[in-house]
Amino acid sequence: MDSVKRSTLTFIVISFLAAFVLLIASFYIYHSGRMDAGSISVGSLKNALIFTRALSGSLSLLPPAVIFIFVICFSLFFTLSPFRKKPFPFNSLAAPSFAMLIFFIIIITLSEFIFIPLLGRRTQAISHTSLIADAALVHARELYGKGDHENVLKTLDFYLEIDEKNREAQKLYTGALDGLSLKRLAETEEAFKSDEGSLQERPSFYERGREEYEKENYYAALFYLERARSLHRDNEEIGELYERSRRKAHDQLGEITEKERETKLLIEQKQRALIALDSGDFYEAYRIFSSLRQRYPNLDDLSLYLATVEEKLMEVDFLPSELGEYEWLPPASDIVFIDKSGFVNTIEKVIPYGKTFYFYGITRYRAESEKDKRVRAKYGKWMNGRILIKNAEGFKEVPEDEGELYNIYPFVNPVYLLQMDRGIENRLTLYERISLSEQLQRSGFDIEKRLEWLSRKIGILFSVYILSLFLGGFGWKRRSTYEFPSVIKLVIFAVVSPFVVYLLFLLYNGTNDVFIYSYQYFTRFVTGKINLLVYTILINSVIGIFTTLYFLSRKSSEEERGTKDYS
Amino acid sequence: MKFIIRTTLRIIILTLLFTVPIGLFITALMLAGRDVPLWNIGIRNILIVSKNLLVPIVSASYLFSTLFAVALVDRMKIRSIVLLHIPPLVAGALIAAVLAFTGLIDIFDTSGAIDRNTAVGYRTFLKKDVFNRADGSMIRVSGDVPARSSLLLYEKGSNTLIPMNNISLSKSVKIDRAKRLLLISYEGETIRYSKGFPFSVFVKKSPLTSGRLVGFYTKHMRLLLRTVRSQYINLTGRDRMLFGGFLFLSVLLFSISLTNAMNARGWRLFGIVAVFLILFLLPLFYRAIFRIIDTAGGNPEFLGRYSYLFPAITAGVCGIIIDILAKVFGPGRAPSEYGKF
Repeated sequence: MDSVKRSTLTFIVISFLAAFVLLIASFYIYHSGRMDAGSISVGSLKNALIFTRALSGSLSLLPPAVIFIFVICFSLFFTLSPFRKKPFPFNSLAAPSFAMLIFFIIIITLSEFIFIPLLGRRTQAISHTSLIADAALVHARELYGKGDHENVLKTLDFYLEIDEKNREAQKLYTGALDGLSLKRLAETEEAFKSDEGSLQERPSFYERGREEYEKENYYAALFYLERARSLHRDNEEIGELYERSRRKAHDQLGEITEKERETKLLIEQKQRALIALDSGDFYEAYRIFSSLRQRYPNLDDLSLYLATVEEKLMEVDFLPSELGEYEWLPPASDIVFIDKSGFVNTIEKVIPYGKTFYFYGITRYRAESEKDKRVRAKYGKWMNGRILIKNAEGFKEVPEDEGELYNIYPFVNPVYLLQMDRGIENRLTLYERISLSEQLQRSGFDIEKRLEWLSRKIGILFSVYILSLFLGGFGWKRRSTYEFPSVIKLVIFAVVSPFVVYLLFLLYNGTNDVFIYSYQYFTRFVTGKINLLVYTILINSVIGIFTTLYFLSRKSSEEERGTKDYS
Repeated sequence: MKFIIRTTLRIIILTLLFTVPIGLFITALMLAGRDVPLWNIGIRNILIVSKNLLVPIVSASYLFSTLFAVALVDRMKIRSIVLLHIPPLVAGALIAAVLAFTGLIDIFDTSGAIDRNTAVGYRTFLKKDVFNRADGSMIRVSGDVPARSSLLLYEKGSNTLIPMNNISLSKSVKIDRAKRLLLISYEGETIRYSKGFPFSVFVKKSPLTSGRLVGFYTKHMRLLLRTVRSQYINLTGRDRMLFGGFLFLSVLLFSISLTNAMNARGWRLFGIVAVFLILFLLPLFYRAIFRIIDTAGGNPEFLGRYSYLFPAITAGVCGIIIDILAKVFGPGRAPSEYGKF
């Protein structure tokens, strides 16, 4: 590589790095100054937010920065002493510059399609995390005041995951931990006193069942053997004793008292519930067990069965009490969207937690219906690709014909729905834009069409290519050949030219918008159907070809004079 | 003579070339100022607005072309600075003559340029089948038959959804741009309107037509035009022509002198970059002159009944001073190519 090419590369790379560092530093200072002192309480989050915003801002100004680098290099830097040592052809400048331009365009492409949207998302995530931290601390203070130490610890787990150095949080955590230890100690002492005689090992369910069987208390035996059987389903001995107890209990039917009749009913209902549980009819099992437990709150096995059923149901359903646990978290409010069934859904607030979402105050309205018929629900949860809504406190199976009313199937994941009015356009990567644009539009998002968006982005890339080459060539033609410019002029140039370049960049993109706008008239009056993206690329390519020719037709001083002794 | 003819021709050609982009820019800026999204109105409307703004567009294009042409002139080849002012005057006179013969509108009468004959309706602001964002509300228009469309109004905060079915959009949805209201009439007497409906939310934000710097510039431009217009209206007959003519000449004199002074010896790109700076500073400079004169107690009386020419003369004198300074401190001859490097 000859010295001119090496110097060209050096100047362009150093200018690029200097410009980028300058941009980041400027944005960092700007955002640091703009951020309110109290807006983000966690220091590490504040710094991360400022830096992310600075990086995102710098990347979005990368296209005009690259154009500016070409202007300043060709009009000024390439006239400095390293380029005056020996004669050279313009090609020695053009080839490395061209290669660098392509490299910069690749970086800008990645930045426009991937980095900037991801940074936008990161910025939003940091802001949301900060809100969670603030809400967690406030909630923990409230709970601590009420003496609810267990929930204080749970809440502070959220906070300490974000900021483990906060003194107030640490103090609250230690206090809650001490409080909880004291409470547990008192409970243990209490249990020790009340259960002093039973220090020896408790017999197993089977042993207790057998004991009752031997005493001919068959109903009590059944009570224990059911538990033993549910724990050891393959144990033949338990199975056999259980069946024998059931038969014996049945044989006693003729002699039962009123109390025993009730016990018999309990056993029958429990039997039905167990069959429902075995056959996977969890809603029926839940209905029976929860009603039995209300009548017999002291029967431990009912609580255990109910817990088993609830565990199964939680896979397909939810309890509204679950929503209460997370209600203190910062919500997204006032969401409106259309779902796959054609309902317009409005939601008062949504709380994202982990990979799920909790919905509060849901109203569904069928847009195409003549009558204003609405479905309202207090609670909703994102489960298995749909939002399940309900008003009832417990688990209740939705009738098949009403399934459409109580299951919302949105076109997109709720994470996108939350951002409807919050600039989602800037936070979608190329892949998401291509795969989700249509679904987002069908959800009612005012989002640019896929091809229009792509054409606009392509316009940015072409603007960098065309303006860099044109202004680079123009700057070379109008370069300072007589003397080094005065300091005052250099300062004015350094201050004004970035704005001029930015203005030209905006004007080119405005022109590209005009091309996109003209598409509708072009296809109506000139051609038939043609893809908008192809149309935009074609026009920009023609301009690009002319600009490339203009750039390549520039000459070095030696070429202009006609001397060719540089080879 | 050859220099004068060549430069005049260059200015006229550049004026014609720049008229389209500058026209689009000014039209977009004016429409954005009135919260009308350029991309949502038909090309016919854009052309109507551009035609109504033709004089300001041609003037801006002429001024830009003049400065651009002056910046492109090799300063080493200028024999006399006075000579440099002649081609812009000739080109300006020719363009003004063409405008005058075509009987175009008064230069300062752009007040109704957008509203006149511009069909702006609900379609300009409401995109179909999507929830159009508006402060405090979201509006969705749907339906294939305009006479039987559906409109959904979602009011945030109260989480209220107001459906309006089978309505004629052209009859039910009215835009009151002056009061910045969107009026929706439904079921006879019910009229809903947004409180201070912010049209700006419908306008696609562009750094070209919004932003602090653009706001600062357009504000001062507007205030300057208001000042000039009020002084122009207070005059009558020949005085109006004199006022306009002097002002026009002073703008040329000052800006050309400054462009020439900024035109670097061999570094002509600096001269071109400086054109943008001069164009940015020009309205601020004139506004400063008018404000200083106003603060000092108005136009002096030594000019008699022609005291209204004082601001223009002041700007012109500034231009002459710049010319003299450029002549005294400017380059005498071209130094050798590798002089100071």
